[in-house]
Amino acid sequence: MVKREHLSLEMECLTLFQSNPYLFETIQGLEKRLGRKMSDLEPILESLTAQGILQRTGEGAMAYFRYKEPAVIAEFSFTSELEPL
Amino acid sequence: MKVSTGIRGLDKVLDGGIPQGSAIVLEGAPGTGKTTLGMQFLYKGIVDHNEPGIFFTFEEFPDQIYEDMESYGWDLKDLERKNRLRVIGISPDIFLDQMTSKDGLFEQLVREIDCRRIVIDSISLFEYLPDKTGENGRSLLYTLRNIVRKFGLTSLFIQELSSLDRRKIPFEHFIADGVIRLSLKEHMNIFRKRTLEVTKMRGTKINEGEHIYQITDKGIYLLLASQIVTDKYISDQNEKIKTGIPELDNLLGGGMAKGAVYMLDTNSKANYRHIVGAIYAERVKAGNRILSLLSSTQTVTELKALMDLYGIDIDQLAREKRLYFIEHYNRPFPAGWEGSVFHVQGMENKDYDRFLWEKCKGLVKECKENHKDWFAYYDLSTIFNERGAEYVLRSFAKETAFARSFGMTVLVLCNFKEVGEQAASFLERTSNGVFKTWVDGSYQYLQVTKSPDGQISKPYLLESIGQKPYIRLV
Ligand SMILES: Nc1ncnc2c1ncn2[C@@H]1O[C@H](COP(=O)(O)OP(=O)(O)OP(=O)(O)O)[C@@H](O)[C@H]1O
Ligand SMILES: [Mg+2]
Repeated sequence: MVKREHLSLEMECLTLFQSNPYLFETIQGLEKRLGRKMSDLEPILESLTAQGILQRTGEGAMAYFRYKEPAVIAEFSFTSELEPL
Repeated sequence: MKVSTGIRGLDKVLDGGIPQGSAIVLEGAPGTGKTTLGMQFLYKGIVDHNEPGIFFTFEEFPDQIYEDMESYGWDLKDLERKNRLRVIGISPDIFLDQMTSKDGLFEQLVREIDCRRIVIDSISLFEYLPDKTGENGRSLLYTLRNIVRKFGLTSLFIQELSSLDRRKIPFEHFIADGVIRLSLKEHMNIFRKRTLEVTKMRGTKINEGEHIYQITDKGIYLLLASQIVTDKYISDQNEKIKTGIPELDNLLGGGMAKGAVYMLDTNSKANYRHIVGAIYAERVKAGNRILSLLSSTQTVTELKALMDLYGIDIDQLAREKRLYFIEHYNRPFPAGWEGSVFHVQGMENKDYDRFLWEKCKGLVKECKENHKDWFAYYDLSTIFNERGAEYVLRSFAKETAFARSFGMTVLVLCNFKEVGEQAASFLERTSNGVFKTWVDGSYQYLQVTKSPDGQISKPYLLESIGQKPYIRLV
C-alpha cells in the first residue's frame, strides 16, 4: 500500500524531528528545510500526526508541527537524572 | 540589577553586565562569533547563575547548533533534558505569530522552563517580513522588544551585518537598549584581529573602544583594551621606567619595563618625532647612559634640535660621555665628541657584530657595575638598509636577550609594513612590547598592542600640545 518513496520521505521527516526535538515548523517551512515539495510532505505529516508521533497546532498556513517525545523515553531519562551513578 | 554575559571581559566592559531585562542587538559579519557569544550567554547563565534560557534559530537547524557548540565543551542536549535550555528551530513568521498570540508558543515555552534569558538568531529577516497590517517589519521588532520586556527577559537579538550596509544608523539601534558589535579586521594590513565594541548600553556606563577577543576552546575570550593602572603591578614599580608621556605611562602600568625591548611601529605618514623625543629626553633626565644608532635621517643636528626642545643640551652630555652614538654614515661631529661616537661605516656584518659584542657589551657592563642604567634607541630601518634583512633577523633575538640580561631598556623604531609580513611578525613576537602609531585621515593614533605585562590598549588619538612633551594621548 505505502509507496517506497513515501517511506524514505517519512524517514526523512522522522529523523529531522527526532534530532531536532524543539523544531516547530509549518509545511512551508519544512519544504524549505528538507527541499521537498509541499504536496509530497502533506500526506506524510498527516500520517505521522495520526500516529501520534508529531503534534500539529493551529490552522491553515500558520499550522505548525513538532515532535511528540514518546512518554516512556521521557520518563526513563527523568529517572536516570534522579539517580546519577 | 546586572546580568553577567558569561564573558568576563565583556562584563568588565559593561561595568558588571547587561542591565536585567534589556533587549540588546548583537551585530557582526558572518563568522564573527555571534552564535557562539549568544549561546555562551545562555550556557553560562544556566550553569553559573541558574537562569534558564531559550535560543531561537531561524536559519540554522538546532542539531547543527548542538554539534557546533560541542567544540566549546557545552552539552546543550543535557541542559535541555534538565529543562534549563531550549534550542528552538522555527520560521520567523510562526515565531512572530506565536509571540503575539495569547498563551501562544512563546509564552508556553517561557513558562515551561522559567526562562530568564533569550537569544534570537537572527532578526535580519524581520525587515522583509510584512506585519499584520502589511507594513514593514520594523514595527515587528518594536513589538518583539516590548514583549520580551514584559516577560522581564534579558535578550540578545543577533543581527547579520555586511560591511556594505553601513550608510546610516540602523533602526534596530534606536529601539534596542544596547548594541554590541563584533568585527573582524585587517590590522595594519598585517594581522587580522577580532574586535568587540559596545556602542550603546542604557543604564550602565561602558568602557569605550574596540576590545580584542579570541574564539577559544572554551568560547569567547575578551581582552580589555584599557585597564586601570593602579590595580596591578604596583609591586614592581621600581622596575618601571617612565616614558615622559604620562598617558602612555598609565597605559603601561607605570612605564616601560626595565630591560625590555619595545618596538615603535610607525607608518610613513606618522610623525614619531615627539614620541621618540619625549622618551629619549626622559631617559636623559633620569640619568641613564644612552646608546643610539643614528639613521640616515636622524643626524646629530636633528637630534640636537629635538633635545633643545626638551631643554637638554646633548653637546655637553656627549662630552661627559653620557651619550654614545653608532654612526653608519661618514658625517662630521662636534669637537669633543670623539670618545662617544663609534664609526662603523663600511664595516662588514661580521666585524660589526664583533664591535657590538665587544665594545658595547663592555661599556654596558662597566656601567652596570657602577649602577648606571642603560637605554638604547635605534631605527631598525638603518640596520635593514645597511646590514640586510637576514642580519636583522639573526641578531635581533640575540640583542633582546642581551638587553634583558643587562637591564638595558630598548626602543626600536620600525615600519612593519615596509619590512614585510614575515619579518614584522618575527619582530613583533621577539619584542617585549609594541607601540603602534599611524595616521588615519587627518588624525594620528597610538596604541599599545603588546606589553610584557600582557596589557594592551585601545587606539588613542595623538594630540599635539604647546608644551613638553608636546604630545598627549586622548
Ligand atoms: N573551538 C574553537 N576554537 C576556535 N575557533 C572556533 C572554535 N569553534 C568554532 N570556532 C570558530 O568560530 C567561528 C565563528 O562561529 P559562529 O558560528 O559563532 O559565528 P557567527 O557569527 O554566528 O557566524 P554566522 O554568520 O555564519 O552565523 C567559526 O568561524 C569557527 O571557525
Ligand atoms: Mg551564527
